[in-house]
Amino acid sequence: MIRRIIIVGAICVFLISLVLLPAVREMQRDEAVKALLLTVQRAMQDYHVEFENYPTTSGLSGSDLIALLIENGHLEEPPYNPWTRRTWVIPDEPTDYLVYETDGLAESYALITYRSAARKKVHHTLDSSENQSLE
Amino acid sequence: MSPRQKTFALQVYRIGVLLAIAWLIRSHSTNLRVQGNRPISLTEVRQFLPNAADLKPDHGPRGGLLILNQRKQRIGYAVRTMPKTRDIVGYSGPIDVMVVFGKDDSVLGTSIRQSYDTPSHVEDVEKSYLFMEAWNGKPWEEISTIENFGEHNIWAVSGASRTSEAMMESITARLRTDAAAATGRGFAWRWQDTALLVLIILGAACAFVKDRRFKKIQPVIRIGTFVVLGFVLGDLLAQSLFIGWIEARIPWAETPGVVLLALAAFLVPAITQQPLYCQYLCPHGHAQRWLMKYVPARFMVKLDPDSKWSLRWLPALLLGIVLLTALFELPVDLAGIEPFHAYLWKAAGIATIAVAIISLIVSAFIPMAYCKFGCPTGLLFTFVRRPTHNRWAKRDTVALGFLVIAFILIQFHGPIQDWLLATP
Repeated sequence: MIRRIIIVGAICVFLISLVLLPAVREMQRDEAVKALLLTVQRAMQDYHVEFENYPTTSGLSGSDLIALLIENGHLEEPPYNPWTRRTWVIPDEPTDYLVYETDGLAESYALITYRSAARKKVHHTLDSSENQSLE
Repeated sequence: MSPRQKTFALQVYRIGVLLAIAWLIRSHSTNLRVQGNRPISLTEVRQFLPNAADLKPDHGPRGGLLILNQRKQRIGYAVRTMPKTRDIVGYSGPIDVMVVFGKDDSVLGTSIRQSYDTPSHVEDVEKSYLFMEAWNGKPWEEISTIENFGEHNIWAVSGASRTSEAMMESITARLRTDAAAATGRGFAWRWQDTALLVLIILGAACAFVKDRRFKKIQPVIRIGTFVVLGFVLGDLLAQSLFIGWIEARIPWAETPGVVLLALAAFLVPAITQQPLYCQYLCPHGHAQRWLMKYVPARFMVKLDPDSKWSLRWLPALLLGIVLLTALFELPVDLAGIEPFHAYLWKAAGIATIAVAIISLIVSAFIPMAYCKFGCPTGLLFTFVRRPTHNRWAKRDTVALGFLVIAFILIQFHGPIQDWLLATP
């Protein structure tokens, strides 16, 4: 009986680690990326209230943007990095799939997250010019 | 209670418990879909109209979004096909497509927002620029009246025909402002359905005709079934298909042949004890049977009773994964847990091809290994098979366990979802 339990247990561990765990991790990452975007979005609104426009440099990396928001006091501390599952390293986070883009007048912006460093597949886009849902 | 009545009651229980689980998944999925919110975003529209600055709901009969520029002038119109066309089903579920129109009411572009079909099929459709751009330039009125897509130079994508056809039908149905028009594509019997019907009849003949002369031609029928069902039609019954049907609806009118195949797979063993689909139709079963026949006996591995007992849990555990995936919308491609999609190898994902190859290699040494120790779909057909005895079996307890687990997971869906999503 013990042998049977061990084999069934091994099958369960195999299936959980091969199928369920990666799926749950993907869901967690997705949720954490959304949380990061919303945190940065709130800080951007504070930035806009103070400076009456958004950061003017388009194409900023996530690290540069977060460093700028911390420097100006709109973010109290570095947020959670969904890709490393640790607190964001400032100023040079090696795993950074977040990009900030703005228009010429810095009146609107988009926060874009990618699936990987190659920046080929967009994961999420949060656009300031709409009440966009990340659900 | 007589033995016959006991047997009948047991079978009613088995069919009932499966239907109850299916009903729970369906009602839960509908609940999530109704509460979920997938509005078209400005970012999506901007890939076709970069000047779009605002979206305003149109309260007219078209029920879409007015696309406005910064001066609040109308520069286009956008619609999504869902939820209006949720009854139009591709391979295993509906498709949500966005169609963006220009100022002149002709299409600027289309994009797939979400699909319940196999991801690799959806990707094939998205990458077919000929197909995706075939709509461009066509006015709303023209698309809404299309009956024959070929006449309008719109052709399904090879290898992902059901997904692309669902997209075609969804777009035309969505643009027909008459709500009644958006309930499906109407009954269509195609050559694929005839081919499936012929295969079912031939499979039934193999199961029930005992004539010796007919038995001699059965190997030819098996090869024909293997090639046609596996490589030509690719309509193998699988968990991804059943979950898609449960969550959306059964496509009686669109793919009647596949529905007949599924009905035969459940009902024939339930009534006659003959495992029609597993024994006589399933291409993966045929492949394993040939391996068993042609691999020399000295290569065969004999499993000890403990290993056999334990491995028989694998299909049930895979059904557990299917249940969890359906209830928590986990990003698991269910096609990847079974080998069946590998027969359409051009559109198949890596996981399903790996499962197909590994299961055949193992089956070369352990006869019918996948059927015995790996197939969750086969387990369902076996479960409803008319019992030879009227005793409550282990599988009846397991099925009841699944029903209870499904009920509990739905009741506590919110807290469990929160716990799953909690970042460690």
